[in-house]
Amino acid sequence: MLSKEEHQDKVLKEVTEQEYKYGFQSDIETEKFPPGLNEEIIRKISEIRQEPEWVLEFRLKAYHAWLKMEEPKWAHLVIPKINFNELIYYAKPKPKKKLESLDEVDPEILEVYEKLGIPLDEQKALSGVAVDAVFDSVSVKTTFQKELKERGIIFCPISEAIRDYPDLVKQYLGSVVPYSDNYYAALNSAVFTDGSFVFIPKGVRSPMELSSYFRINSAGTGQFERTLVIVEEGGYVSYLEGCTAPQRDENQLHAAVVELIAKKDAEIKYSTVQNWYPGDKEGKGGIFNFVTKRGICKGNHSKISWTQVETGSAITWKYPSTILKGDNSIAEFYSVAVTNNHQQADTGTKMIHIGKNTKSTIISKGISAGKSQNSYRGLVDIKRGAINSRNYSVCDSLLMGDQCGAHTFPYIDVENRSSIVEHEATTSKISEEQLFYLQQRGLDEESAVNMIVNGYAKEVLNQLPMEFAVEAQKLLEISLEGSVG
Amino acid sequence: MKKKPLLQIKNLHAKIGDKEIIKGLNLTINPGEVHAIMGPNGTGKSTLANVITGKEGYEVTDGEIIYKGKNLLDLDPEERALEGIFLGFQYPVEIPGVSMTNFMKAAIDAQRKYKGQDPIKPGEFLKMYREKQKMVNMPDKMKNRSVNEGFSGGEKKKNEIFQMAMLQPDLAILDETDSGLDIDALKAVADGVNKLRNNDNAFLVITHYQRLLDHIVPDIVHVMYDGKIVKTGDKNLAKELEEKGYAWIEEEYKKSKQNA
Amino acid sequence: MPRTRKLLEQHIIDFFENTFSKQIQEEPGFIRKARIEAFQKFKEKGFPTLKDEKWRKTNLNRLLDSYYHPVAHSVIKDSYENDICIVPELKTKNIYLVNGHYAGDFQELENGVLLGSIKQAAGKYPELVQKYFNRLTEKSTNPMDYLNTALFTDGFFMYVPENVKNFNLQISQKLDAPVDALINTRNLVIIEKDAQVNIIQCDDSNEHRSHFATFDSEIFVKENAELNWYKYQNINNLSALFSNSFSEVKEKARFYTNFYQLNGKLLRNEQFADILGKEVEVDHYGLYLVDKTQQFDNVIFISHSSEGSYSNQKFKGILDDSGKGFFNGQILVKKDAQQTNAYQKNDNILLTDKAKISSQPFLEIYADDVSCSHGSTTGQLDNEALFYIRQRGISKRDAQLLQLYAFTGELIEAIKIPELIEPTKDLIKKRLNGELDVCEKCILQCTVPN
Repeated sequence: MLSKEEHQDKVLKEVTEQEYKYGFQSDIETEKFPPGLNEEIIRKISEIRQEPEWVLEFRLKAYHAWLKMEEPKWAHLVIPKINFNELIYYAKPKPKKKLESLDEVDPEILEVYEKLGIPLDEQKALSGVAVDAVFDSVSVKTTFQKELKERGIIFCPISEAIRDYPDLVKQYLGSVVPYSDNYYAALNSAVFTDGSFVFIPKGVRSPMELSSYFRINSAGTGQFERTLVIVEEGGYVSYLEGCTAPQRDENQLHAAVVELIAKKDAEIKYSTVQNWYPGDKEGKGGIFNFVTKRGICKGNHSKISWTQVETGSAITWKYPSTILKGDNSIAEFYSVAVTNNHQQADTGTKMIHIGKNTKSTIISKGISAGKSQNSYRGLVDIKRGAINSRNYSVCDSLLMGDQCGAHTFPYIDVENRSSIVEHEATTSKISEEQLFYLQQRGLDEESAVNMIVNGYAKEVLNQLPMEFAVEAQKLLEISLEGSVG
Repeated sequence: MKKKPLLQIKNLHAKIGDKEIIKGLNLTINPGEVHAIMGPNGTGKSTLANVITGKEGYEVTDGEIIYKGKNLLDLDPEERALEGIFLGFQYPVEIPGVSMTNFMKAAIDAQRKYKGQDPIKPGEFLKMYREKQKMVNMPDKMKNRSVNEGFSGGEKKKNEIFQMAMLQPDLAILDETDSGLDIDALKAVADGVNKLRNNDNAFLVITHYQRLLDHIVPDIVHVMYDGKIVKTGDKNLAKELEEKGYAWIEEEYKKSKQNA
Repeated sequence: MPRTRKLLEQHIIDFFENTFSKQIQEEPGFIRKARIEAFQKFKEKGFPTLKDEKWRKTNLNRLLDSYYHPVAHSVIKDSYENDICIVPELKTKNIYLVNGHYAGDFQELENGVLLGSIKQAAGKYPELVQKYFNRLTEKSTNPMDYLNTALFTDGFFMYVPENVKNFNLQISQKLDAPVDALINTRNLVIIEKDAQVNIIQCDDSNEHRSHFATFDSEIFVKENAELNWYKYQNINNLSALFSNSFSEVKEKARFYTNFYQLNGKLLRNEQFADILGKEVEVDHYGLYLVDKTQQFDNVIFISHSSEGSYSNQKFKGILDDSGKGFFNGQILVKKDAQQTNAYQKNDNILLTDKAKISSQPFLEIYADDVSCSHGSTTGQLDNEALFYIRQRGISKRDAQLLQLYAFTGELIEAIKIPELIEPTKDLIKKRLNGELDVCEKCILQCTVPN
């Protein structure tokens, strides 16, 4: 048996020597379209998925809007030119037949999820998480469907939702993020292949966390998943998403769209642990994570809470936002964004206050190390009619090393006299005194730093459901590996 | 000769939002009298003070308040103040950037203007300022600070009494002025009040405990419960409450309500 | 895009190509070259639009709807010697800038200070002017700077030699065109080592004409020198004034600005400061009191290019009626600027539901051993405090004024010239009280030229 010290060493070694532990490729046969984007490809995507005409129309409208649009250039990011005609817009694991139970899922896929530590199998019932796993662009399995169905909760791949609940999807798809919203959202609207759909009926609180795991596996593919969450009056759901991708030398594009709709008295908690492959130490490879996430507090007294732990991706462009339309609605944004090596992140939120007495809170913690660039960009927009509204924002940045950058770009617009908006931000490095204090108590520098960073991020990590909090904490440590000294 | 009442409250009903707090309150205060209002928390004591002084957010739904023969409810807060009503706040607010001297000068001048007098001369003002500071034992350095900013709890309460001494009101309402005070500060506050007492003015002392009333001896003691005055007596009532607590009042009140 | 904007742009282009380019034939080559380059950029870009990042909240269309005559060579009056412009008890030199012209002679003072028209300076001291002129504005990408460089008529030049202490200058800028006019003033200020200078500036206008004015200053503050610049802007509600300053601040130097934006249709102050040495202190403070349909902007960019320096931005605004405010403050800490201390604060009070504020406090940081923070608040008068004050017998209006006045207190405390404190207080009180008229005896008690 290992002594306590040996055990600690082992754990530490595991933690520190890991680079990107999720970076293995899976040898799963995939069916892919040829690279390139044109109307033909879009029609083919729609056809292969047996979509109704209106979905194809939505896609084509988006595609034509996209053609006229330009990539956003305002972010503090250096984005290499992406040749959208070299991307593959559809890839899915070759199914042998229609899957009825988990036993029928390709064991290799299951093995991948096992390695990822994803509770895909039924044994994980105890942990109370229902999972929809999206492999490349296609949902491979959603667990616990039956149990959820009994309560009227729909949790399934969006492709299935289009087939089985077309009216619901038609009513809400693109209602929060219109297909013409921005360049990447338009692209997603044109080519989205799968994603998750959640519907919580009136007065129902989801008895378990709903979770999606996204994984890009095939080379040269883009992933364009689409998530739609609708919570009817008085309902509640906590939704988690996790993302990983294998290590590859070339960059891969992930352009997802997430739409949340909270009706009167409804509450949505949306948590993300994003750990796409960030590229290697020299900045080679990695995912471009260009994501549009937006929720609407449609009804009075509704609440949307975003929590994100962003450790992965070569480039992150992401602003989970909330439109506070209902009176007395509440929105929250909790974020930890870690960048290391050559990573770049430009992330934050938008809080659009329209209803009366609306409240929003923004807590953002940026950590930059290596040669990375980490920006918070956030908008607080209090419209004239949003009387007695309130926003409180804290955006802190932590710098580790003198080769990286930490930036804060808040935009605050207030148009009435009865609202109160407060923003504060600080930028600092890890305090030498804290570090010394911990080292004096016997911790090595790396563990001391990890401890301080975790403390710094705690306010956000505390918002995560338990299963994710542990993983997120580990991710922080892994992400910062080698950044000390 | 019987004096004309200074303040008469008849069947007062008042609410905040949808919640009725004052539910038919009657009270008459004559010049020269010191009244104490006691009662458990949440029975509407502070609300009464706020309604008399005209704070926004309270709606009077019934009844009237007559002060010096005028309908008080028609007046703005500052008009009530200029008519001689002073409120010693339970929680004096901090006003950064406004110096104590500027603030007091503005208040004194507003009062003088109301009476048709010229603004006070700076020399005269400072002399008066020092005198009143001395009276309540306030160090001179405090006059350069912003209103209540960085004041300790005791200093804030003393500052209220100091302002009362400066403005010499006809009716002073002291809302829980004793809360959070140590015994020395309490004595200083009481001392200030006693010095200001005369046959023409009146005090309404709102308190939860009887200890302040050891130092400011009231003529009349009221017990407030559920938005109205349920019992009135002399200073001995305060002592009785101190010994027996408020539970018996609640009992009595509930019983009388049942009988009715 | 409205037709009038295009028309005005075309007018300006035609004016430069057909008229102005001939008038500048006699100018030194380096100035002409700068003008032509800037003109080409303006020709390409035109006026800023709502699509330009820093102009998203500032719609120029409401200014660009009338024709502004380029006031190229019109002289209003030969001498302004009889005009008084003094803060009582403060010994100063006084200069007058009228419609983009420098009114007065070139002065070579006993202490070595050179003070006069920038155009004359370029003739008399070509090497000195060439060394500094357009060095900082050249890098600007703001069309207003293109316009200013291309078309400035004149402006002031000040050279303060080493060790000259307590040199006080009062500038009275008068926008006093007989017709609606485009006015471009260009200035150059060089403060040598160990010198100490105070500038007090007052921007005035006549009451009835629309002026579209740019006022660009390049400022060089050398080692251990100090420059304090106080500016009071009080022009009519038809006129717009774009005051852009570019500064380079060397080791141990101090550069402090206190700008008070009081009146005008559109006032926009852009200040760019580059910190190029250790132990530099740069403070940019500003107060904007906005009402009617006025809009006041402040765009601040402080670049810490060296280690161990301090900067401080403090901007406060009160917005009434349909007034609009825009604050964009940026702190850039470059990679080598370790041990930087940089702060930024923007506080606003909105008095109506029609007033608008847009606040953008930005931090861009590339060095790790720094202490940087920023904050922005927007709110209204504290109702509890309002009741407290009223309970002491002070009227609602006075209670509000008292609170508003208190809100501005920090920006009065920042004044380092004792003689300026009372007049500034007075001016703010008057403005808050709605008693401040354009060119009514202003703080500097200057008289308006007839």
